[in-house]
Amino acid sequence: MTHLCQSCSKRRGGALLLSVVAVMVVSILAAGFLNLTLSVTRRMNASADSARALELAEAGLAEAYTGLALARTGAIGSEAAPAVFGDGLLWVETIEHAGGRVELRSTALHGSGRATLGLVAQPTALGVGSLGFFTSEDLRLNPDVRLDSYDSALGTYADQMNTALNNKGIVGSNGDVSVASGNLIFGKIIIGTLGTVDLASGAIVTGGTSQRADDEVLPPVDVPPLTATTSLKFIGATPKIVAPGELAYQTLSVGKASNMVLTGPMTLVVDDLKLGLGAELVFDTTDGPIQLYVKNSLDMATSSIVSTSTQVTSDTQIYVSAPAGKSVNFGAKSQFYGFIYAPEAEIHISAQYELYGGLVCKELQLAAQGKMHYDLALGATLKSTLPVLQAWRVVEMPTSIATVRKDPFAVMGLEKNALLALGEAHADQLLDIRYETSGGATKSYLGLESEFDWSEVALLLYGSRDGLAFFLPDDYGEGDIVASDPLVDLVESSLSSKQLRDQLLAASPVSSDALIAACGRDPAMSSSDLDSVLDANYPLGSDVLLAAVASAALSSSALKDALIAHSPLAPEVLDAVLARQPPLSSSDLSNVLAKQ
Amino acid sequence: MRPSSLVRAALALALLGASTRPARAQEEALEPLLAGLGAAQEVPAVATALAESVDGRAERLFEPLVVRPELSRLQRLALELALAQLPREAVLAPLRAAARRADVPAEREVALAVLTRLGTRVELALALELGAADVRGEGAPRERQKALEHCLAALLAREPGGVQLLCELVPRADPSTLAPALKALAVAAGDEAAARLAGLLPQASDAVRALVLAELGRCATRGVGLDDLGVSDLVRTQLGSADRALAVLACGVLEKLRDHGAVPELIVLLADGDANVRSRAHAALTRLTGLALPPEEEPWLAWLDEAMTWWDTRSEESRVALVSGSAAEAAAAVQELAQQRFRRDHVVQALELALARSEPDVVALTLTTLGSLDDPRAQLALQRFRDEAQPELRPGLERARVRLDQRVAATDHRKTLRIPQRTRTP
Repeated sequence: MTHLCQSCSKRRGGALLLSVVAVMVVSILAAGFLNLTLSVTRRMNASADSARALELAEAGLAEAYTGLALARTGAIGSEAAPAVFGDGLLWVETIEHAGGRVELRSTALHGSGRATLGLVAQPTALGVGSLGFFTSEDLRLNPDVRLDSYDSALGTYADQMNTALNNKGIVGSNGDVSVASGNLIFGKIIIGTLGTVDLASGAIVTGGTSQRADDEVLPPVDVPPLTATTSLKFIGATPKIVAPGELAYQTLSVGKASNMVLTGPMTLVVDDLKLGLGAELVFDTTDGPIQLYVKNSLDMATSSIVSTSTQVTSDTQIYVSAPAGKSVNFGAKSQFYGFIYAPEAEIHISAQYELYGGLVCKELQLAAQGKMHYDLALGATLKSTLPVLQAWRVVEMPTSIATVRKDPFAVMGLEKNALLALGEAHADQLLDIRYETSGGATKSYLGLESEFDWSEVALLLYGSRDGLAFFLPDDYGEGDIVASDPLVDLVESSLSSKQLRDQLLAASPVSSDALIAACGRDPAMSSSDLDSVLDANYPLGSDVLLAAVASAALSSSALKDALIAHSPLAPEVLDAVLARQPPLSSSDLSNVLAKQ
Repeated sequence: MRPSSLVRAALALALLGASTRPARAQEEALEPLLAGLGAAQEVPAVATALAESVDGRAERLFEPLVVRPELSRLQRLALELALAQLPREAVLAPLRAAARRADVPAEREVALAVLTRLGTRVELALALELGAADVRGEGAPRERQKALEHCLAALLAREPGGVQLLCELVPRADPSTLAPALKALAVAAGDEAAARLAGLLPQASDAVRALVLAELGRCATRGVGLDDLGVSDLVRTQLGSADRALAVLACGVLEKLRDHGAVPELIVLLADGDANVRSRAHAALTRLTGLALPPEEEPWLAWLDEAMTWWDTRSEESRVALVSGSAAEAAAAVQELAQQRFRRDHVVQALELALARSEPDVVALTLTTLGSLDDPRAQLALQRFRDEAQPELRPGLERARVRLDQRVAATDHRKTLRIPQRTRTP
């Protein structure tokens, strides 16, 4: 019994031990499974956060990319003040590259997830031409100056006088703008961030005044690396034709009463440019554009003449890299169609130098009664749609953001409700819009976009950001003449004069449009051919007669016959006959006048 | 003052008085007539009265035109028409006098305006004299150049034969009159303008040749002189000019003339010592052939060799196939021709043969091919075909024309300038 009890006592506690061991094993296994489960959960959460962060970064890129198409800058929020979207944070930075390309970098944080994506796009070009007439220093306008606008893509300045397009001028500065008495500014004034406007009594500004979001930093002139070894000092009776190409001169001077023709396509670099008394400089851009770089000084005598062969303002560009203090004097008599860029120079422009295009410089002295007409085609790129996507990549994340994988709101100390939503966090810009309210009233706004309440807008009529249009009215291009008569196309084709005559005679009677086109054709029809066509289409309307009078192709006697056949002439036709160049011969004119 | 000086001064004053008295008197006589002029219809009657009042002395009508800029347009017109009623020699006398004097510049412009009204081709030389600069070696004022251009245009339009006479006068004319003379010539000569201008090249100085080439370029842009081999030959002679700027201008003119025969010479220029000549020659080659080869001689020579071999060996066979081959052979020939970039003018000529075939499919293919050629001759070929085109071929013809227009627009090699970009992130 004792033996039995001894053996019993020896075995006592074994079950407990086994139980403990079993419990311990189970516990360890349970802890292991728990740990495993937690680890899997954590990994799944981290993975989900990373995926969400990636999606957020994608959303940021999409928003910025769409923004570029709407003339926005592409920047959304910032690291200090990110945009909130869902339960995450994001911001998009922009980096400008050569050739106008923009890199967008979107960084997103969601839970422990972090992602940075990059995208390179070629956005709608926003050239310095969109600044209008701009000075980086204070701008003081002399009395009786007229500054207005037109759109060369839609016709001539004369055709757009007193239309809406004539009233979109931009006069800008990084500093103050002082408008003298008698100034007519058909458009708006945009002053610097700390600038003021001084408007004298009697001055008119039709488009109001606003402050720019950021001061403009003018990029320096990028002078082509052409070495000047000689000078070209021309004086002579025969005009000097300078052939196309890349040329450089130390001094380019056109002497007294001499004529020089610069032929495009041309890149011309000169240290000094000088036009003497009565000298004439012609920019012939018929075959290509001309870029003129002036490195030191530019001096055009008062009686000199500067002209451009075409009215395409982007075809003639003058870049002045001369520093302040150098003489840059546009004193010539000119109707200059082009763009002048002088970020470091003080520009003097005389009243007889009428500028069609744009001017951006450091300082401007525009003489009293000076006239400048801003070409809207230099600024807003109206036909652009979405920017061109050029590359996409995953970008390495900044270490400071990548290392701390905790709730971003807690890490960055941000209150979710205080942050802007993604669509509202675009960088602030100067907004210029015309719109209809829900009540039907037409209103306009010019100022920072952050201060504008978009809920007021029921119907957008026109919109631009920083001078770049993102919405245009349907009637913007109204007045653009589209030939509907196929005979007008025929007239404008490369048929010879005789072929065209036969075609038009076969189709007679033809429309007034076709006859007007035939009168103004280039190359001109021969006098006898044009006479035959007009003769077959009698009676001619006043508009056709006016075109016939204006046509140098029609000989004096042929025109006389047409005029006599339609006498008495309307007053405007008679006026045109008297002013015609080349004039009618004396006998022809006497005969025409005798029939009135 | 010495007595002799006093006498001279008194004489001068007496002469001045004598000369101003009649002038004032004649002015007083003309004044009521001019002042009474109210409407354009009255001009002929007033002109007749003015002509009768001056007893055939043209200078009495000419002087008010010079010294009284305040006259209205109708008054000036009446004076000019009155001058036209006087004997011709009497009118030309003050104009010739104006051409000899250089002290009254305004007189020359008025003389040109009068000559524009009543001159004939005989007065072309007088017009050039009147349009010359006041100071030898300088250019004429812009207004005078414009007046000369109008005057020459009027004289050339008035009588046939004036163009030939002006071509003879131009080499001897004052240099300051050359630019307006060439412009007037380019307009008045019509379809012959390019030939007339090119004819001036051999005997002209470098400066004048540059002017002529610039004017030729403008003519070629308007399609004048396109198929004139004489013009092309004369322009090609300028490629070897010592003044390389002339070679640059000549390259541009040959490109606009679509002178495919100049391709070998342009290839040689790719090795020229002047960078601008190389660049312009390359641009012309690219435009003429539509090829995007680098601006070096070797690849262009290799291509030319291949192209010339094709023309020597295969062109005749293709022509035969186009005219008398089966439909499949003709279609193959059309496609083979379409690939030729050399002698595009000959390609168009050959393709026109296929337009005469009876198979609508072959004709449609030919129309499409013509539409893909960047050559104005293709446009003319389509135009010629348009008249006799059968109704079922008209849509194809229109598509070809549209395609050609788009192609010409797309291959416009004008460089687009970029204005510096604004800095968005200062």
